[in-house]
Amino acid sequence: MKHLALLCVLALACAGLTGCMSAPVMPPMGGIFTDIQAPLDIDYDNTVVTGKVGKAESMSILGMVALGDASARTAARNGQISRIQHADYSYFNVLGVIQRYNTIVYGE
Amino acid sequence: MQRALAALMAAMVLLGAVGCVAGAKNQAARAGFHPAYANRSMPFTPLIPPQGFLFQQVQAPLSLDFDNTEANQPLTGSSTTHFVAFPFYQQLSVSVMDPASVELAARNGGIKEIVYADYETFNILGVYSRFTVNAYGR
Repeated sequence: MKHLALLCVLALACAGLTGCMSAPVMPPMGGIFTDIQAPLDIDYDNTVVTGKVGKAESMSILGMVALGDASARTAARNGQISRIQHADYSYFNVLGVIQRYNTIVYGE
Repeated sequence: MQRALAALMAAMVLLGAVGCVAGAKNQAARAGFHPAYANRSMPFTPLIPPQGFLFQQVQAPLSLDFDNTEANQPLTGSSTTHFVAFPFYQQLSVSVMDPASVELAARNGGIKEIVYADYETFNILGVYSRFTVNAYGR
């Protein structure tokens, strides 16, 4: 029981230290589990919808170590996109232990 | 021992929460992307991916209007600022070297027309952090 309480406190500590992710559009997020996708680009005036998708990922473990290249340029390169039309992002989080962020660009 | 550990963890939760609240409170006051204006060692940008308290090296988009953006630009320019802080005493923080501005990044890369920009953050223990603006253009 003591170990369980200690684990809970540890998980809360990790959640407290994860640093607040911030984006222009943030849908409701779960404290225990989150797996969402939301718009990153919010100017859709005359945006052409195309088929190509490129992703770039960064990751945070326990809110202690964060690594990755989630830049727009890398996302475009990964999807072999030469002209970006619009972008979304995805965010995955389990108890603040593992957080994964993806920049998703769409283009041609 | 367990009580001490639990107390320590609780203190960390509190500090984390205070950090978040303080960050949100100062959000409106921060006009630019220069870490010197932020009340913490992490820069404030429109998009902030999940961060690392002990170590962080992350790149993310800085410009968020991608409509008709040509991704493959011939020129890349960057500008970097360094930031030294005392944990939990951000008032004593120091920002040194050049400002990390898009203007300076473009100048460093010989860019006449900026098309889009990314940024990179590097942080060790919240004590030393580096903020780099990467501008792409022609």
